[in-house]
Amino acid sequence: MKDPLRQYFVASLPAALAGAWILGDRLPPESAETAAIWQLALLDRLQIPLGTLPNSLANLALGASFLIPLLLTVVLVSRIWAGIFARVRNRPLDPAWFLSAWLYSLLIPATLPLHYAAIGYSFGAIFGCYVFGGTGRYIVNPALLGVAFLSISYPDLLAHDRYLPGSDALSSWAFVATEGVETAVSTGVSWVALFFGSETGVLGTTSALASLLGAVYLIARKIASIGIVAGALVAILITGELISEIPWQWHLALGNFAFILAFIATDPTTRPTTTGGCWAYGALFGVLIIVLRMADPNNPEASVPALMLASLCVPLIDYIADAAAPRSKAPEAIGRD
Amino acid sequence: MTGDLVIIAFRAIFIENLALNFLLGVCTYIAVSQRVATALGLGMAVTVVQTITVPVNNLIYRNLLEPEALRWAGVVGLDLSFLRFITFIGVIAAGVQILELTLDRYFPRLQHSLGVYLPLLTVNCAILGGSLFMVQRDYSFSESVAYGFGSGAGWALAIVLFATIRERIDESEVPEGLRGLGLAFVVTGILALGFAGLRGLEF
Repeated sequence: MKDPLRQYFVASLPAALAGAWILGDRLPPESAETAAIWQLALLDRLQIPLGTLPNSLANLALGASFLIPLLLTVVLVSRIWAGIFARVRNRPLDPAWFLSAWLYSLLIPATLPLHYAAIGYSFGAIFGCYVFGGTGRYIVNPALLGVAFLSISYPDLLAHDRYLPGSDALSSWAFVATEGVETAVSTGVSWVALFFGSETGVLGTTSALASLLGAVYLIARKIASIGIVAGALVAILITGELISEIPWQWHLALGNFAFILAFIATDPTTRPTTTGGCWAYGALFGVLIIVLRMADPNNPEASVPALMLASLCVPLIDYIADAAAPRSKAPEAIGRD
Repeated sequence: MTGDLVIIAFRAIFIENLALNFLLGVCTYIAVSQRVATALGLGMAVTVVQTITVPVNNLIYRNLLEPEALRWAGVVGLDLSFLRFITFIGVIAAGVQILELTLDRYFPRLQHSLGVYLPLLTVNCAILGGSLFMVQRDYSFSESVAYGFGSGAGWALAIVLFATIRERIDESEVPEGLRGLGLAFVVTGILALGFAGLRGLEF
């Protein structure tokens, strides 16, 4: 992996570990005996003595038993497609084949059947990445496109109650959106707990704190643009205060927002080329999230369509930035003028 | 009332986008999206034509064509709605002709760059589709103004976004068989997927 890609992996690792740990922690206790969940049955068959481990390690292992099969499947599919395109086009292997698969695996629910994970990723990788010539040339992040494809084509698989294996508990966002913040707080859900990661949500994205720390790390390494992250946060603050019934900081902690902002929105391939453009792109993403969450609370994850739309507007943002402040023209063009 | 009109326009732009949701007017959409400036000009032309023809067609349909429309003239039991296709096309043709003359007089460069696609707006299915949706959804006159503007602006937004993306992917190393039209359809699909994320919006 090239260095910036490796940094993305390093930065998203804490979010993935936190997600796996929280998933293990939140699994309903009786489901440990449920043979219907094949991951748990497999752990049982392998006679892994989870009971003898300290609680936190056992949680991590339980969560990992869901993450690892998905990850292995998607990585394998990704490697196959990368290999086919590299061979047919006589090019080196796409450098981001592993990173895209990794980020995609963290953006899908733990209950997603493996073959659907493979179908979604295949769509994202082929139509989102390889037909454009690979990493550095696509218009929408392939991991994001794969999840968007799944959410449009198989909405039931990504529904609100599909996040926790062996349980039909609502996702934290759906719970807060339908019950309201006050009821949520009265039932013991606190903003701080959600922000740290005690959330029912998509596999790797439950901890907003871990994701935002990843974003800070990427900004410090000068890989991610601070404008995108700051623009989105400012937009969430302002739009959240203006039109949202839910306080703005709750939007920050709920759902995929922090993860997608940190690791998908900052993708160097799809970001605008100017600093002002990055701010506009981040702000558009933030505004769209609040609008979509308010006007369409039944949509399990507003962050995915919001970033899809914001990414599709990036060439337009660049075009406007270019028209507003034309970059230096080539010498012969100046001569012709 | 004003709120309802804004919602009709908003839905027509983002949720029921003629190009990306109904795939109407795609021939022009693909053909005139090589350059952003031309696409913007055509998008504005479509918006103007829609904003004028949908309400005019609404007046004609309500007062002349729909069943019992001619009751005001003392004619009872007459249904001329079978004439709506030819009438709507006639109105659209007249609107496009006026637009063409106006562009020729004031924006000759834009008219030249739009070429044959400007007169072809007469038979653009997005424009006829706008008027037919107006009938199907039983819009009033003011609603048809909002819908005409919204559907045209939505089509314009789609073609401008598409043109900016096309200008960017011109630099891509696209596999041989997909260059040009093939990739244009892939990008249209991705755009439609993006807009499909808005379909659950409720007001």
